[in-house]
Amino acid sequence: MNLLRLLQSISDKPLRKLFAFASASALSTTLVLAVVTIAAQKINDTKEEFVDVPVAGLFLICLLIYVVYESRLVEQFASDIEKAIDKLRMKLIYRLRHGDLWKLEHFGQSRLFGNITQSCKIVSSNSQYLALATRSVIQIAMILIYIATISLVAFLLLTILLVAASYAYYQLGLSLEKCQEELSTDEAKLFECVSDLLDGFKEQRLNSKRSQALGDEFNELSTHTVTTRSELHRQSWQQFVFGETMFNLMLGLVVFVVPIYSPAIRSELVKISAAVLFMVPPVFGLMQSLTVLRAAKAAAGRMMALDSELASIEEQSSAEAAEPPSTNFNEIRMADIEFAYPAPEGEIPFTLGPLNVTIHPGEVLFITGGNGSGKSSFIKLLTGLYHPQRGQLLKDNRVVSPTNLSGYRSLMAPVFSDFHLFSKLYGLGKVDNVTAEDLLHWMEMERVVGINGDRFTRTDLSTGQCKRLALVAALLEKKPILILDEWAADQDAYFRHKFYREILPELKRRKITIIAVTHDDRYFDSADRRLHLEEGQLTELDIDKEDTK
Amino acid sequence: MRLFNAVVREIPENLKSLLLMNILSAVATMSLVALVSTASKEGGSGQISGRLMLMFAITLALYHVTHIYTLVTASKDTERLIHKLRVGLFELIRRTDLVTIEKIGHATLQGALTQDTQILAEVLPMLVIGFQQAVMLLFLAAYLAWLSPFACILAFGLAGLTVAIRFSRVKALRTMMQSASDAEKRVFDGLTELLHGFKEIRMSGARADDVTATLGEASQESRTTSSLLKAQWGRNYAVIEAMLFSLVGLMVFVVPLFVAGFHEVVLPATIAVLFISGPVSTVSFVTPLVTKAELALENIDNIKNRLAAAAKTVSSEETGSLEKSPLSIALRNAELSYRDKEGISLFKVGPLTAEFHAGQITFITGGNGSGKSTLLRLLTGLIPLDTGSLLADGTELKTEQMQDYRNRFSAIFSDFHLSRRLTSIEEPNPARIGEMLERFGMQDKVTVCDGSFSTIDLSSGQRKRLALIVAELENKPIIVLDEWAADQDPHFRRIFYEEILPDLKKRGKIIICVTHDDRWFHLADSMYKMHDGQIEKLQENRNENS
Repeated sequence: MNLLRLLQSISDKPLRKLFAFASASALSTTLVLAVVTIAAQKINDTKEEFVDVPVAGLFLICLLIYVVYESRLVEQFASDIEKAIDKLRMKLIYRLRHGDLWKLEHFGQSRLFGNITQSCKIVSSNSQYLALATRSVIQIAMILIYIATISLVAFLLLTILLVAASYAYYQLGLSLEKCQEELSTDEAKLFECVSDLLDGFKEQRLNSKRSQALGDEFNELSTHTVTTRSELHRQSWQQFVFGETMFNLMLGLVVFVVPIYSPAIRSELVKISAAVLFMVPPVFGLMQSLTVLRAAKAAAGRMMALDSELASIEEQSSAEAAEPPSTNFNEIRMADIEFAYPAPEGEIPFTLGPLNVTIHPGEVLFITGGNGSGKSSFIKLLTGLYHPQRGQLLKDNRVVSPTNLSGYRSLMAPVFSDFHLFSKLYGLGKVDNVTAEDLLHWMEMERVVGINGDRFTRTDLSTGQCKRLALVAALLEKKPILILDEWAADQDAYFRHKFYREILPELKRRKITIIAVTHDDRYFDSADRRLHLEEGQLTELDIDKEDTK
Repeated sequence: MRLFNAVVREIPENLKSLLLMNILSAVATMSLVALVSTASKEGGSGQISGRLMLMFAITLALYHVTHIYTLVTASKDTERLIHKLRVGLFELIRRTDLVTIEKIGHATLQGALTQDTQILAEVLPMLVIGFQQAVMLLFLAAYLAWLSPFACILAFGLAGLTVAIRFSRVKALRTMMQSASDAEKRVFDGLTELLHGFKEIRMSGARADDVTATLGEASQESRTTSSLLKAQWGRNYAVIEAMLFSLVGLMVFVVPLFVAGFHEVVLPATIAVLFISGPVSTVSFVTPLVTKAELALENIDNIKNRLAAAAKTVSSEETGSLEKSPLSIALRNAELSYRDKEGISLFKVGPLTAEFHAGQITFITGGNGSGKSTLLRLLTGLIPLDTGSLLADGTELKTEQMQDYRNRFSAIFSDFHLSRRLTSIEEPNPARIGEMLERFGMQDKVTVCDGSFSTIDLSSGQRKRLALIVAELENKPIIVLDEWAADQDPHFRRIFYEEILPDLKKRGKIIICVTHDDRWFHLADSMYKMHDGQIEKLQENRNENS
C-alpha cells in the first residue's frame, strides 16, 4: 500500500508506535463502556441510588487515558506523515533542480505542479482520518470481543449483521464516487463559463448574442450541477440513513431476538445495547475514512510515481560534483552544431545549423533574424541548455561535456526573452547595496523600486520595467558574458536609445562580452559583429557603420 | 440571519412539509429509544411482546423514510438556493459595463461566483443535517426529562458545554489552518519560481542552490505548521469525544447522588444518553459553519449591491439600434482620463480624432503605454468618453444605441480571450470551419464538435489564429485586431497580411489593426501613430517604409 510505503520511507518504527497508541485509545474506550454499563446495571439491580467510588475512579482514569492516547495518536501519525511528505517533496525538488530544460519543457508543468502540491495536500490534510481509522478498527474489534464475553449468540448475530451492513454500505458508496466525478466535471464546466464571462468580458460586451448565449449556458450548466449535486446528496443521505437504520436494527436484534436463543442473558441486554451504541462512532468513522483513504493512497502513489518519472528528466551528471565554475575564457566555439525539432511524420523538421561561431572576450555580438528563424534556440544551444544532436561546444579548445557544463554555464548571465524575474536575488550571497543602487539608477528605476536586503521592493511592474530589473540582477552576478534576448523590445524609444548608445558601450568598456538578440536595425552599428539567422542558417554580416542614421 | 432570510425568500415552497417530516423523524427516534428500553426491561422479565416488536418495526420504517425525506428534500432545496444566487450574480455581471467590472476587479467577482458559492454548496448540506439533528435532540431531551428532569438538565448542560467548547476552539484552529496554508503557499511559490525560472536556475549553480534551500525552508515550515495543526486538532477531537463519554458517566455516577428513585430509570436514561451523543457531536461540528455560510452570503450580497447600483445606467444601452451597418466610424476630440481613488488624473488620453472607413485598412502604431488600447476601447464603445464624441456615419451615437453599435464589432484585443464554445456564431458551417482551420494550419491540432473547439490549450499564437477564425465566421462589418501577428511565425504573418486583410477589405469591412510590422505598412489605406496619449495621422509615406 502506497501510504505505508510512504511512511516506511522514514523508518519502520513509526507503525509500531501508532499501533500501540491506537490500541491504548481503543482499549480505554471499551473500558469506559464496560464500566458505565456495570455501574448502571448495579444501580438497577440493587434498586438503590449509590455511586461506586472505585468504579467511578476507573471511569475517570479511562477517560484520561483516552484523551492522552487519542491526541498522541493523531499527533504522532500526522507528524510522521508530514515528515515523509517533506522528505519526498524535497527529493522531487532536488530532481527537478537538476532537470534538463528540453525534457522539462516536454513534461507538462501542470502535472508537476499538481503532483507536488495537490498530492502533498491531499495526503497531509487527511492524515488524522487515517489515524482514526486505525483506531476505529481496533475499537470495533474490542467492543465485539466485549459482547462475546457477555453472550456468544449476540456476538455472532451482531457480527454477521455488522459485516453484511458494512458491505451493503460500502456498495451504496461505490456509485457515489461516479457521482462525485460527474460533479467535478460539471463544476469544471461551470467555472470555465465563469472565466469565459470574466476573462472574455470585453468580447461578450461586443456581442449581445454571445452574451445571451453565455447567460443561457451558465443557467443550463448551473441547473445541471444542481441535479448532479442533488443526486449526490440523495445517494449519500440514503447511505447515511441506511447506516443509522442498521444500527437501530442491531438494537432491535439485541432486545427482541437474542433473548429467544439465550434466555440466560436477559438481564444483560442493556450491556449489549450500550455496546452497540458505542460502536456507532467508530463504524461510521471507519466507513467515511475509507473514501478519504483511497484518495490519499492514490495521491501518495502519484507522488512516488513522479519520483521515478523525474529521475528520467535529470540532466546527465548534473547532480554530481562538477568542476569549479569558470570565471573567464579566451574563446568559445560552436563547432558544426546541429539541432532539429522533432516533427510529425512526413513533415520536414525545423533544423538549426550547422552552426559555426567563435566568440572572443569583450566582443559585442548581435544575433538578428525574423520570428521563428531560430534565434532563441541558438541562445539555448550556446548556453548549453539544449543539447545539440550533432557538433560540439568548445571552451578554450576543450569540449564542454556534462561534467564541466555547469562550470561553463557559470560564465554567463542571461536575460531571456521569456525571462523570469525572481522575487529574491537568489544565489548572489550578500548583495552589494551600493552597486545595486547604482545599477537601479542607471536603469532609471530608482524611483519605482528599491533594494531591500536581497530582494527588489516590488516586482508588479510592466514587462519593460521588469526587464530592466532582470538586467540589474544579471549585472549583479558579475559574469564575463551577458546574454540578452530581445531585451530592448519592450522599452520605449528613449530608453532603447540609451540602451544601445550608452549602456552597451559602457558594458563593453567594462570588458563584458555581450551576446544580444535584437530586431532594432537602427542600432546594428552598436555591435562589433552581427550574426544573421534565416530558417536556421547562420551567416555573419558586415557591420556597415557608415550606413546608419 | 442572512441565511435565514435567504431561505425564506428564495426557497419557501417545502419549508412546512420539511418541518413536519423533521418532527416526525424526531418522534420516531424518540419512540425507538423508548421501545428499546422497554424491550430490554421486558426481555429481562422473560416475555417478548409481539406487539412491541411490531411497533419497533413500524417505527424503524417511519424513522428511515422521514429521515431520508427530510435530508434529501432539504439538500435539494439548498441546491436550488445556490443556483438562484449563482445565476442571479452571473446575469448581473453580464449586464454590467466594463468600467464597473474593472473597478470591482476580476478576482473579487471570480471569488464570489466560484469560491463563495462553493463554500455554500459544501456548508449548507452540513447545516441541513445539523438542523435535523438539533430537532431530534429536542425530542430526546423531552424523553429524558420525562424519565428524570434533573438528568435531562445535567445531560444537556454538558452537551451545551461541548458545543460551546467546540465553537470557541474553532477560531484558534482556523488561525493555525491559515498559517499551515500560508506555509503551503510558500512551497507553491517556490516551486513556481523553480519552474518559471528554470532556465535561469540551470545557468547558475549558486542560484539553484539558493532557490532549493529556500524551498527546503518552506517545505520544513509547512511540515511544522501542519504537524502543529494536526496535534491541536487531535487534542480538540479527543476532548470533545471524552465529553460525550462523560454524558453517560453523568447518568451512572452523578445523577444517582441527587435523584431519589433514579434506580428505576437508570437503564433507559443511559440508553437515551447514548442516543444523544451522536447528534450532539454533529451539532457541535456544524454550529461553527453557520458563520462561514453567513460570510459567504454577505460577500455575494455586497457584490450584488455594487453591481445593481451600476446596472441602472447600463440597461438603457440596449433599447435603441442603428439604422444600418455603419460605413464609417470616427472619434472626434475624444478624451479619457485614468484617475486614482481620489479622482486625481493619472494619465490622460486625447483629444483623439480619427476616422475609419468601410473597405479600408487602417493601421495604428505606437509604443507601449502610448494609449493604443485605450483608443480601441473607446472606439469599440467599451468605455464611455469623458468628453468628445463617437460617430457612426457622421452622426453622434446615442446612449441607447451603444449595445447595437458594439454588436457590429469583431475584436481580437492583445489581452483577448478565446472561449472554447463558438457561442457567437449562428449555425456554424462545418465545411467552412474545416477550411479555415486548414488555412491557419490548425486542422491537426483542433477540431470543432458540438459548437466547441476540442481544445484551447494551445500557444498564444495558435489561440489567436482560432480567435481570427471565430471573427471571420462572425462576419461583422467592423474588425479590430490588436497586434494579431506578433506571435505568429513568418508564414502565417504573410498569410495574414497578404491574404486575410485584403480579403476582408474586398468584402467591404472597416479594418482596424494595431501593428508594428513595418514590412507591410504599404498595405494600409491610412495610418495613425499614437504617442503619449496623442494621435497623429501619418501622411502617405509608404514608399519610405517598404
